Amino acid sequence: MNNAERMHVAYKSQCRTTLIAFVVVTLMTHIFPMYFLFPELNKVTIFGFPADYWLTIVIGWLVLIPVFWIYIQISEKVDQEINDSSSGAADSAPGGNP
Amino acid sequence: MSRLLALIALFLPALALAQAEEPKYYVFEPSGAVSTLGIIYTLLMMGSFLYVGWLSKRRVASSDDYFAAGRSFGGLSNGLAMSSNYMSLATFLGFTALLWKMQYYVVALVMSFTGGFVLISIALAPALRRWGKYTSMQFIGERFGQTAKVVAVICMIFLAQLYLIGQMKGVGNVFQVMFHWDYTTGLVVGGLVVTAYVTIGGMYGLSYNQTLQAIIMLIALYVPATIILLKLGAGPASFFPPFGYGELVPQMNEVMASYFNPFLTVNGTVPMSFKFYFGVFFSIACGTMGLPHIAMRYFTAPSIRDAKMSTLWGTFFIGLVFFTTFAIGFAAKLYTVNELNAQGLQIQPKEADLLIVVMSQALTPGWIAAMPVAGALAAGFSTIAGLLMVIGTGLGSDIYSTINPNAADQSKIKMGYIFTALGGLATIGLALNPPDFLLTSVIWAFIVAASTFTPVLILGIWWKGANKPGAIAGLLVGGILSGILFFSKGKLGDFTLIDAGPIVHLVTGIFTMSAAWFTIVVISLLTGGEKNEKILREIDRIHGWQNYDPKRYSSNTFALVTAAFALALMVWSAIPDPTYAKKPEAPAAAATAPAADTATKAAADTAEAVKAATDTAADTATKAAADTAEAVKAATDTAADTATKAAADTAEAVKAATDTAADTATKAAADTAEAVKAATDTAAEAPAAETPTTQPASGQQ
Repeated sequence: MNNAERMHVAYKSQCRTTLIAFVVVTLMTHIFPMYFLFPELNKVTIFGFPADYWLTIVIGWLVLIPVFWIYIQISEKVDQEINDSSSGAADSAPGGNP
Repeated sequence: MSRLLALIALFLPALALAQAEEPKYYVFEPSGAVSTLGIIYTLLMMGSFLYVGWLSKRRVASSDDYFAAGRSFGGLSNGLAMSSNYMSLATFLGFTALLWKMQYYVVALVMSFTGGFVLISIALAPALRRWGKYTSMQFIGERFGQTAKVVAVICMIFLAQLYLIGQMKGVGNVFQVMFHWDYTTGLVVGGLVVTAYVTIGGMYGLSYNQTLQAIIMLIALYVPATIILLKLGAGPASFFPPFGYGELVPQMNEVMASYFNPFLTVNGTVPMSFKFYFGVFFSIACGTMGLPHIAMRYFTAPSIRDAKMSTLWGTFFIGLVFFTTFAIGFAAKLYTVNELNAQGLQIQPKEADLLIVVMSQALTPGWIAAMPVAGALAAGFSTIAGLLMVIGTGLGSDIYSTINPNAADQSKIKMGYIFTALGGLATIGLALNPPDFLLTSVIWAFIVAASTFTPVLILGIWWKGANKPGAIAGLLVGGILSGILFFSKGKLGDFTLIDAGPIVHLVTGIFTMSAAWFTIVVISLLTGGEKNEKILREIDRIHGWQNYDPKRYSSNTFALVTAAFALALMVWSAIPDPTYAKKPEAPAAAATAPAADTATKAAADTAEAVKAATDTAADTATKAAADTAEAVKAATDTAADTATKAAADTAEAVKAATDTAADTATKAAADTAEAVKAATDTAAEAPAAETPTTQPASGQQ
């Protein structure tokens, strides 16, 4: 893989990682449609709490923290690749790579 | 169904009696120990803040130190500072009150607050930190020009004041209620202290103090919450309050079956719909992303990784405080039903804001009961300080450097001192005679942020095509639209966008943010996009690139697709939603009818409405649930103090009516809620082919 291809892959990775992380965090902290889609969850209990109440808080907070930590690790690698591949690389002309 | 009707008929006399008697209200009076210790804690705390601010002054040698704390705050300390910056007096006292009034409904808001806090770190913070300035307004200025920066600063001052006045008023109120100080004295003392330590210490003073305030808030909430839950019998789980009340859930279900029902609130007056939940995301989560005082904390981190790690810590601490307030709100609801209502007392909205102190005073020793007072003031101070710093930086650095581009570093620091102090004094002045709209002003601050800063920042960072005319037009459209809707309470001329109470104003965020986004994309494309190569190169740089490629972040397809989506959202949000449809006024005769007749009629209306919801088949469970809630609301609107409210308000209204009917009436209310739920289920199971008659047969629609 030449440097231009590496930069192209890194660029795609950055956009993809950001978009996926954005969507995942948004969904994890906004699972309210669950109330409409699965009203039966209100009847099931977890540790004494109605399941939808408990799941809303646990997913939107405690599960979110390790998920965000994973995002940090991935985004750091992508940033490193962006830095490494573009260090010393020439500017691309309009219409050039990628 | 017949069981429900029979129960309603059985308890009509008790309900009518409830309306006939004047309700007795609980009046909170702090004990001598709580008041005295509260004053001691508060004075010690304010002294510490001033001392930290004064110590921090020694570290200020450059504008980088004054406005960005030398970019030396990372990880844990910045995470603590971020959390206290974000959590305000409204979080500390208001969430408990909101839970008491609205129960499950508040979960949606709070989760969106948490999500928005993390989303900044994903979509905006890394690029803003690499840009290397002090505020979002500076980024907008360098990306889109000085005119855009001036418009952004005006938007910032508007939203900061919406946020600040409520906080300042809250500080004055705490002094007034807890220490019997005059409101003005409390406001001026509290306001001057916070203004002084921010002005003197700049971002260093602010950061150290916010770290200290986060620790105070955590202790002041966590310790009383643990003891309160233990006293109520929650068992060993009490030592982790966010999930420490599972043991008490059956007890709550017994006295208030609707507490964990996401489709009902205490009195059923806040309608639920999918559109509402969508509005929560646009207003709260997207609004958080645009709040300049939150974004500003990322500029203090030494590196991108430190900024992200700060978010990680901040998320943990924010969740800890948010969900501990949930535990206290739950405990307070149980306590009011079991203890206060049993004595024939009801809680007024004003007292609901103090439930955490009420609970602490009732169930913990005096030295612990006084902690929440200090915690609440620390929460108020931290947010006020963050906003004052944004005002000081926005005017002292951003605007001053526009007027005087060659200003020396020391001149910028002096301007920072002056404008931070003036911002504080102006806010104290405005809070002396606070306007009526304070209850909703903080929500509107989020809507203004979502409609101005968020689209401009996201598009400015991720789309090279966004240009100066597009950004200015977007800021103006978002700012003016949200401003008009704020002052007109959801109306654009004769056209009513939203008219369903303060909280549902969150839905307007869908309209205003989409309008701003659509405007930026369309105007930018029509005016040829960004041509300045220096700016285009900077966009590559803030994403970490060492070289320049014009094709990166330049997809017009992305922009057009999002603009089309924004347009669709604008139309969708403006379509009248039957859930929010305003009900016609009740006939005058009904309003003047004797209490018993009114109660009877309202109860009959309720029964008819519930019957209609049951007998008619909805297409889905969602529709059926919305219809049922609407039917309950219709009956409530007809006669404000009627049996419907009593039924939805479960034990409180019934217990206030008569001691003899108390136990039975509570059961009736719980049964009613169960029956409504059963009706919903029945409707959900009915064949979809049946005609969905959506209007309740109450005759009040």
